[in-house]
Amino acid sequence: MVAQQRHVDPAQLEELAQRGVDAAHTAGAQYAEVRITRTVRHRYPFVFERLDVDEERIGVGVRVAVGSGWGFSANPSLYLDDVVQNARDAVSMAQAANVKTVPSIEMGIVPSSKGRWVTPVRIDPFTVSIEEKLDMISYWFNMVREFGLIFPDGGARSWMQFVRQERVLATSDGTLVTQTLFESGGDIVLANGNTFLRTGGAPLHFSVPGLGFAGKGWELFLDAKLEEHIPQWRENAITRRKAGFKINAVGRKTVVCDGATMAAVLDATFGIATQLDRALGYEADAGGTSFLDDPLGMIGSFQVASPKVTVSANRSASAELATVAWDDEGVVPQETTLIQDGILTDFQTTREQAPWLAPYYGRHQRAVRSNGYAAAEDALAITLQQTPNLSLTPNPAEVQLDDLVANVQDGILIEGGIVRTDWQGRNGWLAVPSGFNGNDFAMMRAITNGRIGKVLQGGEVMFNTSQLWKGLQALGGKATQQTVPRSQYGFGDTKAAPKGQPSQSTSHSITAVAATIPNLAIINPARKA
Amino acid sequence: MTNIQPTRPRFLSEADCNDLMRRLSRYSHGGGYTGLVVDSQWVGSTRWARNRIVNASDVCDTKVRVLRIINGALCNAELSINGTSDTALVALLRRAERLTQFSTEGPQEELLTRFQPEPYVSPSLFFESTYDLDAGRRTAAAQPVIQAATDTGMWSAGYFQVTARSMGIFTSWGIGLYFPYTWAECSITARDPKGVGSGWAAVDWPDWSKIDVSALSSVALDKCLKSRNPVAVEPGRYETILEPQAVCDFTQNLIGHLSYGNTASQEEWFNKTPWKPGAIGHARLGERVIDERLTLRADPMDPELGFPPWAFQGQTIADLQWTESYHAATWIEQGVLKQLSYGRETFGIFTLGRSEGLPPSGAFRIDVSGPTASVDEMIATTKRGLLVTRFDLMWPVNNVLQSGVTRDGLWLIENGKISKACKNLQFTESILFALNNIEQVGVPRRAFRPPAYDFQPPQPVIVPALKVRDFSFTALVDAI
Repeated sequence: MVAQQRHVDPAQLEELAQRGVDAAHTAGAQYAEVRITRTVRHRYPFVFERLDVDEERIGVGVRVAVGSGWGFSANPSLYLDDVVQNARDAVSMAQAANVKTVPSIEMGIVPSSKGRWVTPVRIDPFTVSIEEKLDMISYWFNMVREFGLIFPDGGARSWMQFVRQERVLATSDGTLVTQTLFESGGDIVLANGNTFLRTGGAPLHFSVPGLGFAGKGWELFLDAKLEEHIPQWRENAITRRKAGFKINAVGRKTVVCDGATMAAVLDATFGIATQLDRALGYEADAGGTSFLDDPLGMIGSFQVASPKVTVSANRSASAELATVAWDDEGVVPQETTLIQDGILTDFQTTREQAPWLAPYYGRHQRAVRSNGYAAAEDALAITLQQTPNLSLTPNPAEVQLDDLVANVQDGILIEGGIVRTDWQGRNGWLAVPSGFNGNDFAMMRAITNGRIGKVLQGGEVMFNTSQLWKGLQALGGKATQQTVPRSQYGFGDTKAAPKGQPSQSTSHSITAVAATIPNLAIINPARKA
Repeated sequence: MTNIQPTRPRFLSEADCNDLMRRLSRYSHGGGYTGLVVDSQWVGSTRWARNRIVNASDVCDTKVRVLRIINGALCNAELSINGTSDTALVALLRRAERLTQFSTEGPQEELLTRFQPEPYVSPSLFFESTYDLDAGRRTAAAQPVIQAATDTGMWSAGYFQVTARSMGIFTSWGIGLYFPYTWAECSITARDPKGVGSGWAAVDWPDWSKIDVSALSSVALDKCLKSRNPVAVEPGRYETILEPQAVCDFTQNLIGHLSYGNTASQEEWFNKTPWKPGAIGHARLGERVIDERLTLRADPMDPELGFPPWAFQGQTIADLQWTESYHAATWIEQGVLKQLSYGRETFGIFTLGRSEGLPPSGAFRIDVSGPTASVDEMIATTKRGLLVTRFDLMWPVNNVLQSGVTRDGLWLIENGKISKACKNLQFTESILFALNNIEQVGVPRRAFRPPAYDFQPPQPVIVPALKVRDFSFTALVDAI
């Protein structure tokens, strides 16, 4: 029996998945997909200098369509009998959800896919021994002292994490694919003093750049080359503070956002607002709806941003978190332009959802085809439309961050900003991490007569999404591009937003360039009415 | 209606857990001691939106955590798998045993004698009405909700979830804790198809039969219809009626502050000075901290509030000593601070000389004394104010203030009547300020506060509506 073996040959899992599809078809499914996932997660908090989390999670999930209803049944068992029973239960669920007066689900026709794919990492982090990883942490602890730095508070804010997920998908269209996805990431925070015990202000402290979650392996940490870059990072952090500090004044300012900040803004605004199911009200009782609430009326004509703005979506960018060869419905994902020159031109779709935009696609001679953005966090969660990788197209001219700053007389530079938006993505708040999560590379600094000045304390930007994007005045070039992760395995600001009921989240990356936006409101968040 | 009978056990029984422990003991290498923390659950759900059933689901899952100590060396990773087969358990044990090689701490076996579980109470939280709510019955329950929205030209979206769960802690030296329970949630949103109005109502209980779906549907639909075409009102300070859900959303962080301060760098609300090791008598016990009509308490045996009587908070065998039972606690009585929470080991034994802890479960109820008023009565006695259904997108501003946004119904009250529906507002306010500026109190009611993540024990809340003076709203947020 398949289930007696701890590590199963992919071919055996593929056969198991196929048997599940066959069982669902026999039980009456008009469409069926069986997903099998095995997810292993290892986490190393530096404060403990050990492997602290070793989690393995297996799942078999069967999703079927009968008439208008979706049914889903899942559990962790790899026994064939259980998979077959899952399939039958999923059909029973779908039959219970089917309402004859509601139109049947249409999944369209997609070519079947066969094959295997692995995230192209250089070094599988699970082939690197625990000892080697701990040796690396120990080496870093000692090495940074040579630069007058420490891991503050015993390394309480530093960690690294590795995830490998093996995914098998079989569908009733004949798709049978296996993918192995890797995700690695961490945070290394260095300082010249401990944060908890310090008096008289926070010590200089910064997060090492480039260690956010990515579709990479152990090379993510090897390539960081801390000893080569620490002097420059340290100098950068010191320089930032040299101008001094001042309280952020309320009022309207021109704001220059670095690439990381614009990525956060993009994700929290268009990233959720262009989810078609959300825009049509299917998430109304969960995460919310969208300010783009008339998809067929808006698509192709509605101006959502400055003509300088083009936003695309993909699941193919190298080392980005949503990158796969096939989505969870067996579709080969395609790159999509969601916003072209400021005009809304598409939504994020799945096989069921693409036909909802058929009148628009037809008018523009475009195929009615899923964009390939169906996903689930693992086989124990139902497949939904989930955010893919997003990208804000750079200015073709070589515009640097300094060039954007130079054109501002009285404004603010925001680097490493964090964003929250309301449940429609209609309004939002932009700030920088503070307190325990503060970071000298994530700051607001004053711009005066084209020069960066004092570090600004307090204050946040409150914005209306449409006004922000339509008011965007200038974009940075490719040199200002930064990629930020939103991971289903992340914490705090790097955690991907939940979706669905029960809620789940899936990983994706957002790449954006710097931008200048005038007339944004700076507020004092601690001010009461 | 399709009745779907379960064909397999949906969660682990006590016998199943004991069998797991026996197999772990049998397959262990190297001697020593073994602990098992196991959670298993079945989640049945039905979801609908835009007046159609979207999906029905059944998901079973298990989380098995193994704790090992061999010759004093601790496996101190959180080691887990979600399978219970022999091969899964053997793989997990081998990993745990390997990780003991990385233990850097001294002999730990004396820790084991510390973990003797406190006596714990046994609330009856397993209800067949919840366990039997299969997909067919869930669909049948959703149909009238959908029909009601359809009949008024509105859209309904909503969610039913029923859960049966068991949690257990077992050790090779004879400890065995096991607790099964059920939990049911119902949330309903009604929206105008033009996006100009939205209403919502929800509740969760362990017993599905206590959920009045029809009543919730009516409330959501009524709020949707009455919230349409809202107008902007000026941010400012308002006399504000918070419905019970809004009170739950606004006060839920209060319980986390009702503890002896455990971070020296933070100014704690109920301690006179930041806590220092060994300091006693620094808390504001005996002082009035909120309105004298309010009493804040929690009791796992409360027939209305009941919640699981213990939880494992750690991740290693050493953390078993932190496993604490929840006792009936009255934190604040008629406005006066009576107790603060503390752990059995960290504070109870060493500082207070007590043999048991008083940990917070997260569940709480706010009881009231004196005259109460219904929401309608509160409206009738308000010259100018706001009525809030609930808050969303809550975030801390600093250690005192929090912020958030109203959602699914905000109305202006003028001269004792609701005069207009309002666009949503952001608030910035302090919990203690609000609870010290209360005009009127209502009858406590169950709010909606389901578990936030997989295997999280429920933390139910029962709170009254409150009319609060000078509640601070700082900005307009025109999302609907």
